[in-house]
Amino acid sequence: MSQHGRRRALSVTKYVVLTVVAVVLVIGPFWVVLVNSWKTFGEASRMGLGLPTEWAIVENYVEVFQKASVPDGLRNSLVVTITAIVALILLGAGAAWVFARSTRRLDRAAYYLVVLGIFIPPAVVTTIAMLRTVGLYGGHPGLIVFYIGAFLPLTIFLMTGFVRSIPVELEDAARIDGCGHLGVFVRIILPLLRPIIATSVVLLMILIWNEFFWAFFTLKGTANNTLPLGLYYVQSQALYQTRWNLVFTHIVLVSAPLLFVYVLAQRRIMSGLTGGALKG
Amino acid sequence: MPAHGVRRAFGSVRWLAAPALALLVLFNLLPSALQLVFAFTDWNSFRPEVRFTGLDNLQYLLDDGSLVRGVRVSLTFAILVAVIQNGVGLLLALALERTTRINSVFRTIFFLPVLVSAIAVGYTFRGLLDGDGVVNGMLGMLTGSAIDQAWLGDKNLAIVLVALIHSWKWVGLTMLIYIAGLNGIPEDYKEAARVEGASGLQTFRRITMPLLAPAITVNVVLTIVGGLTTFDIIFATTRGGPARSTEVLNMFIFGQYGSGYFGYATALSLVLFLIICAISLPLLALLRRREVSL
Repeated sequence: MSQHGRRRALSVTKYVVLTVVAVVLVIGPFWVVLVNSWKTFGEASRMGLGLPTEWAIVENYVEVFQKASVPDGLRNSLVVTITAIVALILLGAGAAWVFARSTRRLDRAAYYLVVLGIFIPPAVVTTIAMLRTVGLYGGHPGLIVFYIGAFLPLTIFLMTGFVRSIPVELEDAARIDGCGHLGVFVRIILPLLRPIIATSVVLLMILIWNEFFWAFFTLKGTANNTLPLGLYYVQSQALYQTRWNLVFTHIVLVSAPLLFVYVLAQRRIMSGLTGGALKG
Repeated sequence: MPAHGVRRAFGSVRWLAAPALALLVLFNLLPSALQLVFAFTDWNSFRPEVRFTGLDNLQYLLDDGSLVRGVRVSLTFAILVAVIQNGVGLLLALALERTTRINSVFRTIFFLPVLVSAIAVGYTFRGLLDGDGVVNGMLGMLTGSAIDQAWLGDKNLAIVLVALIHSWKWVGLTMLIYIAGLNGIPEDYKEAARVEGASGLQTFRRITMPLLAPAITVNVVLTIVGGLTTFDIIFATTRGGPARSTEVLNMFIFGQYGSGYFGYATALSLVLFLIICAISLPLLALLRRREVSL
């Protein structure tokens, strides 16, 4: 076989293997969840791969929507995720600007402490004690400041690297033209940070939208539940234990928003993550 | 304005960092530091006053065998996850390194699980691996005989399976970081090696691997820390069982906290904190040194 032919055969083999792996190991589980969320209780408990013989899409989705209070969960998840991300981006950008431009030793030291925070998980028990002390325990504000504290290191790290790549002359020019410090930050820095803000928002969305562990510790009262907590409570009710059709329906509803955003902004997300992940 | 003036004037905007630092100190650094105090107290939900008890908590958790087991299970899980995720992630990244249309489709597919909540992933795989789940059904079809193995109920297999499920969810991110790393290697280097007559394997070992080192460091730290801090997937699949074989430290912290033993929970949390510091600090220092030399 010629070298060209051999390379071609190798490439075909590669894509055959990739396709089999993707279909069996990734698309397979997604399909099982989706198709069984369309089935009746009896048929879903056999968990077959085929299409339903008796369709129950409407019944399942209506039941989960009502019983698991999906609308409340959706609202709570949106409030917590959006508030936390907006705060993280604004606070993070301010801190990143200072860290990127400052030459003081103290600021350098503080920056390395912050970066270290990326790899260190928050201390759950003492953080909750802190939330109790300042009167934020139990509701959304407490969870939001928990997320801000937990994810500021990552946000600041990503943005500081990016600010360093912006020529400082741009800022000097704006200052000479009479811009104040806040003006430089709002008119020059923030607009130039747009690409890294997009990347950070995507990463933070993935991390916060699905977050379960801290929310489970921090939120009190089912009315406050975010979507992942709602899924837990649905599944832990003995009634639903074996009702896979409803559990899967809930999983589809919990996952849909993020998958939807991903499909819409897929290209930007991919290039943002592959391009920005290691720089800075 | 001379540069010096600009720089000095900049000092007055350092307050822009203040809100971020205040929240960071209050809700991240200070609680972490407070662990060093509360881990050595009898803090609990039954009595309002908190007393110092020295090393009693650690002594109790050691005697009871739970500390050693928790650390062992967590480390086993983290190592399994790091090996699986980095092995598979690097293979996928090498296969999908070039940005072509078909590769983008595959990247997207392998990234999808990253977007799904870990709790949902856990429930899904519990269903798939059930006694009468899909996996047994498929195996039954392949072998021609009925199989009703309760996969997650096997106390030797369970830890490997939950590590595989965790890796299934996160390997897409590991892959992307490797792809970013691979794409950062100038094509000229590989071309030069090829012109010099290096084989594919030699190019990979001598050029690609060394230049990929920062991505490898980041991925190893991220996967190990991710493994050590896991909770959702184990909570949704085995809840620490069977026979406590998958009871990682976070499961255990959750249990102690839920029963009102905040002191024990904090002591365990401190141990986890110290393990993670011991792993990430040296690697971070390594990364920084490399950054300087580049």
